[in-house]
Amino acid sequence: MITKQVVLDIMKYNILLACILSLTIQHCFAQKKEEREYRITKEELPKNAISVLHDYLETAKRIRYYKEIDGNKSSFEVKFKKNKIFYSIEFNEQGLLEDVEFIIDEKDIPLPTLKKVQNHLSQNFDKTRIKKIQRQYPNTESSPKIVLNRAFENSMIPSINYEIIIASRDKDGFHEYEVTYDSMGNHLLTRKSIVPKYDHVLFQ
Amino acid sequence: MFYSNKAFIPLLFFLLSLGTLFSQENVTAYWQPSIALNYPVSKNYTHNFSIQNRNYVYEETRAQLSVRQLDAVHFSNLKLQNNTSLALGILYRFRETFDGGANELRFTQQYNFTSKPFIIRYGHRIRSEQRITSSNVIQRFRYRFSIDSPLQGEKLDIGEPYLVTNLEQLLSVGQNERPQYDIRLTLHLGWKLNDLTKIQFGAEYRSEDYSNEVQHVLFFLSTLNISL
Repeated sequence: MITKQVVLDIMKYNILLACILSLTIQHCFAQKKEEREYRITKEELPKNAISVLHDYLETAKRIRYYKEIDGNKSSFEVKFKKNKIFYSIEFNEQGLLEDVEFIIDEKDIPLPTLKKVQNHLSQNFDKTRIKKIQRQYPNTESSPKIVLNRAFENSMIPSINYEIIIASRDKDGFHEYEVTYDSMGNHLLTRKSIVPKYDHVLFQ
Repeated sequence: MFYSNKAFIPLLFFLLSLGTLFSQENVTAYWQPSIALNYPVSKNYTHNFSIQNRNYVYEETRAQLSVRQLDAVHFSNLKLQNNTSLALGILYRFRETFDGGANELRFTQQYNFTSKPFIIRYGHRIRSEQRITSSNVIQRFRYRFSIDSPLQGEKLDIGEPYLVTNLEQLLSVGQNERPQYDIRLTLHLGWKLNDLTKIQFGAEYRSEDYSNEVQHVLFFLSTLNISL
């Protein structure tokens, strides 16, 4: 049975809880973070990246700039919408172009490549659901302008890759993967994605 | 680095509009702190345990601080897909000792699914509840639409803030009771403290029994959420 003493204890507990939470926040914010991604302003982007992109962003909408830090390495990403297509352009720490990606549908992949990709997915994953497909133009050229032009022209060149985000069930449960294929549908890389937790929304 | 200013507009608007409510007579305000623990039991099955207590801070045109109730809550959650889940919950509300109201036993059945086209995640939650007290049984049906997103960048990193917004519609029915319609609007501002812990502060506005004798209820919320 809950008594008046318990009521008083709860009030004390609330004050104590507030103090602990306050101290915990301060402690956590003081910690050094090794891996993070955050939004930046255009001015924080390396100048050579700004100048390379300038002409391409004239008719772009929803332009956002990001910085990603992974240990001692950092990179920059510019995301925007242009002609109803969502683009993502990545630069390295020095502002040199790494790759250009944009979101496509399954039907935008040439049929022989798509069939090869589907075969690989069905052989290696259970109950696969494709969440997102991106066509990737890695910077394999001497000038970033060549890569950017080819990407914005949607050129079907041999150096492009397909980056596919899938949801799948395996023996450890449900997971998301980022699977990359070359332009012929040959598998290049599989990376497990970290799905953000949802407990803090689900039961509140 | 900067916060998206647009993300704070609904929060500001909501907090400012709360102030105007206090001038009305049928207004009650509570402070509700809670602690939640979530942990996996098996690969697709998780448990949620939480304790929350509700304190009066404003009632009948005067400010006060007194305990109204204490809730002990458990949910068993089964993942059906990576964005879909079913849950069963049980809650016991200790109220008699605090303000003389009836204690309550509550059973909950829940279905939830989410989608995340880009940065913002959208959630749809459908609940049915049986609220059992010594004098009555109320059946309650709820639908909640949620959006949540990080406020710095596209993914939530340690030390970064996030925003959760909920809009929920409720219908309560019971024998010899008039159907009661409620609506709830909630805004939470949270921080990811580390990989396991999040802290949230928020406000909730409830318009209770709005089709009959409307009551305005405000909640100030604080939550410590631990996910193992």
